Amino acid sequence: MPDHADDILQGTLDMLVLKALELGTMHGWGITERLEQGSKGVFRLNQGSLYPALYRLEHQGLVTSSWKATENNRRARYYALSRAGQRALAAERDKWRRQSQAVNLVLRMTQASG
Amino acid sequence: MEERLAEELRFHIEMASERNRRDGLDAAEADRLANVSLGGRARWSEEARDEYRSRLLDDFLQDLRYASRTLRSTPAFTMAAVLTLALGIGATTAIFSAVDGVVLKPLPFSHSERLVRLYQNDRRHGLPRSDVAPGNFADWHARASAFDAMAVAEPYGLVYSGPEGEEQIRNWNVTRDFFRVLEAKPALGRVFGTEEYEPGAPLTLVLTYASWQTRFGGDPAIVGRKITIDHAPATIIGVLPRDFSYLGTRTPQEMYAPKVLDTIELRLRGSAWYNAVARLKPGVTVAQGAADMDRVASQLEHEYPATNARIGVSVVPLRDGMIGDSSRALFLVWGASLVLLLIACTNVANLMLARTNRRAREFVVRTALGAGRARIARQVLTEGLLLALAGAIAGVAVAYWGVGAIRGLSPDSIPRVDEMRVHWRALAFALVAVPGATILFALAPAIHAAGSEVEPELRAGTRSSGRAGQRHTRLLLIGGEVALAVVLLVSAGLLVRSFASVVNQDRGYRSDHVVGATMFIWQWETTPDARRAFADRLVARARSLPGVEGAGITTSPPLTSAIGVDHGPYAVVGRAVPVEQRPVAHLASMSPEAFDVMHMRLLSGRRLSRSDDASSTRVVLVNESLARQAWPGENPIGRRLSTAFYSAPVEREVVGVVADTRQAALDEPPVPTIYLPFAQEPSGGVWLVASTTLEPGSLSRDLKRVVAELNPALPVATIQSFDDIVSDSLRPRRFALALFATFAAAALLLAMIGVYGVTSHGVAERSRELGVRIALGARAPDILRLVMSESLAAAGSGVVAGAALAVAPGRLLDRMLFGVTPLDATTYGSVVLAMLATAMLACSIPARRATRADPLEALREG
Repeated sequence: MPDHADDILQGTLDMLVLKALELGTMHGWGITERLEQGSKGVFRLNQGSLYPALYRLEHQGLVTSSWKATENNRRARYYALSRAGQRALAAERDKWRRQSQAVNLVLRMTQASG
Repeated sequence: MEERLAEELRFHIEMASERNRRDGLDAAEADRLANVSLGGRARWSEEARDEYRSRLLDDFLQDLRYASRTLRSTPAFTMAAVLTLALGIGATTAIFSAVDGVVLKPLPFSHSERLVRLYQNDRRHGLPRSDVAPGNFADWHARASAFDAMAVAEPYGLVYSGPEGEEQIRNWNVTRDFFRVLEAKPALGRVFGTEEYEPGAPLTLVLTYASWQTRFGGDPAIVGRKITIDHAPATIIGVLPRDFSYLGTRTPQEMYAPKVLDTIELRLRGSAWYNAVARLKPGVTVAQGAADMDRVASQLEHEYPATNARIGVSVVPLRDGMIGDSSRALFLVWGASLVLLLIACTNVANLMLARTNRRAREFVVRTALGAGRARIARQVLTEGLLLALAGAIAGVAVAYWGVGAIRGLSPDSIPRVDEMRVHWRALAFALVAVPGATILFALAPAIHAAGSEVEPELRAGTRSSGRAGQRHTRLLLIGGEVALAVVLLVSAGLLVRSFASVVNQDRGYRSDHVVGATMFIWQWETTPDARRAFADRLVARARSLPGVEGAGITTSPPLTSAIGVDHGPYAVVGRAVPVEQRPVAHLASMSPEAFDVMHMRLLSGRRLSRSDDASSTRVVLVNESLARQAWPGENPIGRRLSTAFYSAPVEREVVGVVADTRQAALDEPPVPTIYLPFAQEPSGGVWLVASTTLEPGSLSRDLKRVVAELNPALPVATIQSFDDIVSDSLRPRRFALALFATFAAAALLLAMIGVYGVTSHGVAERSRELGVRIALGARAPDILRLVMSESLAAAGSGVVAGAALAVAPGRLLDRMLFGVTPLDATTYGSVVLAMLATAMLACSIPARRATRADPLEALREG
């Protein structure tokens, strides 16, 4: 699989962003850094698709946002996971786990019969 | 939203660039890399925008659902608001439809800008738009080169033998190319072709759409149907489309008949009654067409100097000929309807403000839960939008009804009246009115709602009187409403007084139970003696009819368009005045009896009598205006003047002075007039006038019969009752008056409701305070004063402001006023009093309720 961020499925990106926010309120740049660190550099996020994702999540009520000051006293928009977002994240996690288990099963099956 | 994204991105790039620098890149490279890493900005910023927009949409839908729920839960308010808006929007849309149908919409003919009316420009009498003489038309048709087609429409009447007996149907006789000029395609059947114009062809008719529907019941088998016209069979060969209207007037020409110019008519150049219309060739301008016709006219002036000297041609676009003055009045009325809409919006704004007040707690809670102030304001605006939408829908229904009413009321002088229909342009206007109205009346409440303050609300939990700002807004709105209502009332009042003046003035003659019929007799009675004899016979026969009190002959009854010569210059004998400077007087040739028929008043001297005939001295009567003009301050009896009437000038002696009559129009000043005895000046085109004790309608039939007995070939051109003529001439005035009065009444009602509402709300707001006061011993008058003073002050200042404002439209209305000045004291005074009295009444009801309030209840309500 090419590791261009463009190909990352939209749903997956949303889930990752939610996960990133689970670790704490953060602004857009912070989320980028977290995701890059968290994936050990595999996901080099096309940072452009981050903001539409954030707006989408906010629209769906899964995150909230507000202007706050950073440590350097600069103004940035901080995003936080909402209650609904937490529930959604849990649900997504389950789904992803089941899906990958299924995929693994299929892959192993093929090898075995091969 | 854009700004938010931009700012977030700026921050993001800064942070990225910093990291790059920490990683060792130099500043420029760091920045560049940071920018690049954000990738295809165009594409995803579009995505981001879409996300934001769809969120807005969802928010909006949510607002809508919420708004409709809250509106449904307060049906009284919603009803009141919707009805008020319906009234305002409906009125404006109705008038706009009228304006659109008459003024804005293009004529229903293809390339209507090439259609022109052709008139004779009678420079001898200063009448640039005169009817056309048959002989002249024939030559114009033959010699003009700038036109594709030229045709004539002759107003005429046919006797129809129908199921209800005989009646006269008005029609147009049209020459061969008429339908070609207008490029009219029939809705059913066909229009006239060459066969219909063959000599001896049987009579064929083309119906107007309206006639087909009303008189013939929309008969599907109408084409080919035979009816009896002038006691002979005639075939209907076609029906014109619904929107086809020649000249758009509502004078009830129901059908078209072919007209073949016969040889006798073709010789006539001195008498003119044709209506000529033509279509310019493509690419030819009106000015070029006029130049072409000037060429033809001057040829005719040379060839026929007796009849055509100084007769030119006026070429006028068909549209201009039709619309003219009406547009002004219509726009004025539209202005009035907009004022009414404004008042309606003010009322609804007040209603919404009061409601917002009551819902303050709800708004505060929502704010505490995180809704932004903008969101709250949007919510209120959405409610306003819904109200306005409902109001617009109801308003369109009102408009449909209103347009029908306007059509019914409209005078015939407003052209294309039948084209006043509510149609998409008007609906589009209503749709524009919706957001417009919303902004007007929902803005203030929205702002107030957004500003609801959290602390005092949650703490006190009551309607505190700390909301002074809001109350001031409401009072301001009331003042505005009252001012606007005063403006409308003053305008209506001025029009009412004008109308009364016009109707009640001394007209100088009587028109009730008088009927007139016009006919051209000079083809048959070619000598003056023959005409005199014919006239005598006619009058004698007419007098012998049952119910007829008197009958006479005249060439120019008041308020009618004259037949033939109706004015000319005169000279006072003994004064040398150069020809060009001679004053012009109205001329009428009358038989002595005609004075009695029309009850004209003799002021001095003697009347005309039978002895003033061809063999005696030439005498005249003059009216007061002429006496004043020619012999100011002197006695005109016995003086001589010289004037021409179908002949060279003749000296005549003045034997009597008659009271002025309104000749041209009821609201125009009397014209100096000279009355000549018919026996001395027997003209060939006459009115037979007769007064009757019976119904004027029955007299019409009898008169036609009498004329037919004397000369079966003589067509009676028109028969009208003079009351109808007077009434018709008043219709424009009545129309404008009715509309203004309706709006003024509606405005008064709305203002009254507004004042009532504000006072009532004030009472509710202050119920606690009032309860305390009553408990502390305040008496009824004190409470009344307390409650009413605010509203009355607002209303009072509104009245003053309105009176000042009303000066402006007064100026605009100037042309429509008669007998009153724009600053008429009586009108202003009555309006001011009426408005104040109404405001008092409206305040007093809730105030009275306040005095009866139970103080314990009020206190407990805290």
